[in-house]
Amino acid sequence: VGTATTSPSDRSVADGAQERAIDRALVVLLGALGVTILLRETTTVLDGSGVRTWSTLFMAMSVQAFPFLVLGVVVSGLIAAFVSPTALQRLLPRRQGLAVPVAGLYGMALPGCECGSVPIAGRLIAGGLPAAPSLTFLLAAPAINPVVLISTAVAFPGQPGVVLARFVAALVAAIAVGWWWTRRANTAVSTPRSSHDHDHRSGNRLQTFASTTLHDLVMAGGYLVVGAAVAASIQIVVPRTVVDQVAGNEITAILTLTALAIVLSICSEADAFVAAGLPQFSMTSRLVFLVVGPMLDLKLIAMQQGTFGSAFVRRFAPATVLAAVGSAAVVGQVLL
Amino acid sequence: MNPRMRGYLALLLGAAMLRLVTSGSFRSFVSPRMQVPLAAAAVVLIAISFVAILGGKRSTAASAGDHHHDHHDEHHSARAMRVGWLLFVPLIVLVGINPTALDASSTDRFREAAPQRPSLVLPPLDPTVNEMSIARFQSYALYDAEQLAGRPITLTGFVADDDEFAAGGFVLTRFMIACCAADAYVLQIAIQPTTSLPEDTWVQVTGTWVEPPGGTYPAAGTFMIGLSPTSVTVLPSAPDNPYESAF
Repeated sequence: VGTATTSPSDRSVADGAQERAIDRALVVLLGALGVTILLRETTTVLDGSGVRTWSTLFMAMSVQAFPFLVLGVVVSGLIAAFVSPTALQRLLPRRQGLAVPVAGLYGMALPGCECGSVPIAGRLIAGGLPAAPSLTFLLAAPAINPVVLISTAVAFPGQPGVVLARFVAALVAAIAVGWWWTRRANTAVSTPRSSHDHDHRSGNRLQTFASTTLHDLVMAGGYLVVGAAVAASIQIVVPRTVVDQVAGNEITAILTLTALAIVLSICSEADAFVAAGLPQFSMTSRLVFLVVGPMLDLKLIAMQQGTFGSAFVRRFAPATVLAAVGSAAVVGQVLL
Repeated sequence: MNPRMRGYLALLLGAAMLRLVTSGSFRSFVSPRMQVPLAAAAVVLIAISFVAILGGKRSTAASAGDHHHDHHDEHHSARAMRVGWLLFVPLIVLVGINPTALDASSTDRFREAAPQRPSLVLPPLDPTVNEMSIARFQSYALYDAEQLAGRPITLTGFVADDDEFAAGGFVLTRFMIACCAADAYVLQIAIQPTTSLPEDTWVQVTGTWVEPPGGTYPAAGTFMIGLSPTSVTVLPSAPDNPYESAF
């Protein structure tokens, strides 16, 4: 591996660099595995209740999210390979004021998570769709699609109000941001610099499907692992009494879970299970967590910056958080 | 991470998940009803990874001519995809740490379940045999205690120590989950008087409900529902599902 140096072309240089990077990564991974097994077999470092409970919780969240994540990226791969943006374009009314809520409702048809909707919104805008409805779709789809609503229902058994509240609050927030964008900043979205658009034009469709699916899986899955690790650590490290104190006050509970939703960056198909695991927080604050997370978090900021540019994110992100928190707080008070 | 590596990673993840399902150890982490979705997702992922790996080889061989554009984009994409290497972490945790279901050492980290007042009338108890979940037994004790008088109750769980509530016995413990172990609640019943057993021993206990002093339970968190055992059977291993289901 990594010996393609026979010609001085770009390709062999790039190949060599990539192969070396992969070799390095594999050495690190095998080393980490070896050290872990060595520690397990020869010391008691990994026998502590903290480590064991952490690894169980971490695996639990990862395993639980797995089928939802796979379903989401498979569908985003299917859309990328088999549905053209122009076909989608014909589905929207011409008047933007009307197109925004319609685009929000179309979010129900995209059973994916937020990682899938960023590249899709980028493709829609690049394909000539107005920015405001595309962005409304971007915000609404990850929170109100059937997979997310079903996983929310599974995570909160016997509480259909949570599903309804999540749907209403997310849709309202997404439409509010879309209308705001129509009035204030409609022309400011740069043409997306999509990172893997070329995949969708060349090659056969099955190949396009497979590569888009795995691209989205690796991207979303990587951030999911971060989210699960942080969430498991918080459960282990932060004393329950501290969490209970923060959770006891409605305002601090909402602020804490807003911050947590942004930091954890959990896939919207899995975040309901994390929210269900925070029973000490009020239902309204957990609804805020479920509405903010799919609309804005650290991984989304990174992805939006890559697709739409930094200037866009500086305006879009604060408006999104305000709309999401406000909408969820009001809807939570009314419905939960 | 480049597309070929993504293919191998997806193959590895799918295979690991399939192994978790076929070995049954996925039940240490999530509810048993996830079996079919997990298996289906694993199989789909393995199939897609084959398409990506085989197709990737073919396109690499075929596109030797006009690679410049592809490579520029691919390189950019590969850098953005560094986060994907983190997907190896669950595999390292799985193989290296080999996590088990939540056990006696974890009980202090989880909240006690507060039994909901049953919306339906609890079914009448049999005079001779009543095998039930700990959660169900707690519902009887709190909301329909008259039925329990003199009826034998059989419960399954593991042994945990607790000097405060179960001196001269042990705490029969089991976790209850809705979806995955991250949303677990702990269920505990004081088994006394009886001889103590090592923690995490799985047992089946038959006995009768212990009426609280004065006939009613005090504030939540200040008591543990009790069972006076007539027999304690040590089970050879944990049940298939180490957890009780919340619904």
